[in-house]
Amino acid sequence: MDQQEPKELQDTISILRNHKPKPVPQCLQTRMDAKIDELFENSSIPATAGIQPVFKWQFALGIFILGILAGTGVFTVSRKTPLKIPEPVNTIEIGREAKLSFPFFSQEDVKDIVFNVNLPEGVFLASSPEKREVHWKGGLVKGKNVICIYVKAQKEGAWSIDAKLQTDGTILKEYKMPLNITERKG
Amino acid sequence: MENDYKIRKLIEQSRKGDKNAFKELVLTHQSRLYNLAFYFAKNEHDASDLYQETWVKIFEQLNKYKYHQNFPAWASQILRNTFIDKFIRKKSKKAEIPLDESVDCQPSGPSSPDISENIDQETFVDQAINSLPVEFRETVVLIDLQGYSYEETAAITGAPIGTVRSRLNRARERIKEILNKG
Repeated sequence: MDQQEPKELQDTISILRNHKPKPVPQCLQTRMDAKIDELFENSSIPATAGIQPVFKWQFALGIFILGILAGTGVFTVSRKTPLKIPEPVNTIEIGREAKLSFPFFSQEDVKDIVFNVNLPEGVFLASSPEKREVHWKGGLVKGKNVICIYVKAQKEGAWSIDAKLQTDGTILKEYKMPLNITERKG
Repeated sequence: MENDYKIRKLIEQSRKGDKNAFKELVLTHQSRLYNLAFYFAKNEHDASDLYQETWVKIFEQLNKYKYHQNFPAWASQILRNTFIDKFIRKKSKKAEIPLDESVDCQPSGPSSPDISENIDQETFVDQAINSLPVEFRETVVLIDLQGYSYEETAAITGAPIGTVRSRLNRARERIKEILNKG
């Protein structure tokens, strides 16, 4: 303990320094895992940390030369659409990936939730094509929760995705998400 | 020193797209950051939101981190700024879910009697800390609960070291008054 601390406060300081930290809720850890997966899925590989000062002049020279070349029209800008983050959709073209979002609102933090999804013939799980069923175990936090899965469309038709949210064998919520798989355009 | 090296490796790998390295970085610092979030937000629910948003920001700003910086202090500063932006200025808006979407969940049961006394004492200390104005609260949490130095706390809070010392002293005095009354 700091010798300069007033004696009359030392008991209080001792109580504070021995105060137990709060445990991190398990459902938050689960939520963070899912969030990190989403962050890495949706981002490009981060750029390198920074330019080392020793290469500054080479970098400046490179930019200068590129600027001259760009001015001469050597480089043409491609009109390709940038890689899009899949948005939640109900219509997917064959061969495309999409994010299916299952939102629900919980009045309390709930542990030991099981979320089961049965995929119809028209789609498969983007990360594991052979899986027809998805089982997610975790917890809900009070407030809004969203579970997302990424699927790829494989067969045309009007399909329905069935999902169930359960805890201790009790079904809390059932979903029936309609999904249209269409021919690829262009 | 060894810990600094490990953090540096995890950050390097995360920057290259190694998701598991980032998860390990989160795991290493989760208790400290969650607890800081708890004392800023004053409840578990908002603390969880603040904690998650902080890590998203850390991920987005990972390239700005310089290896000579103290990573926990840097992350704590991001958390504090996120708290100010999102919670004090109330910029965040949660999407509303219709009532028919709500899930009736069983509330958690009561604590067992033999540990209730310890819980009460801890809760009492928490209440004492949470009753402080935010500038006193953050100072006493950073220094007395989390072990940051005056200099690190000054960097995190953006206050001069003299102000940090003064706030810490006043926070401790107030907590002492509250604990003595209880």
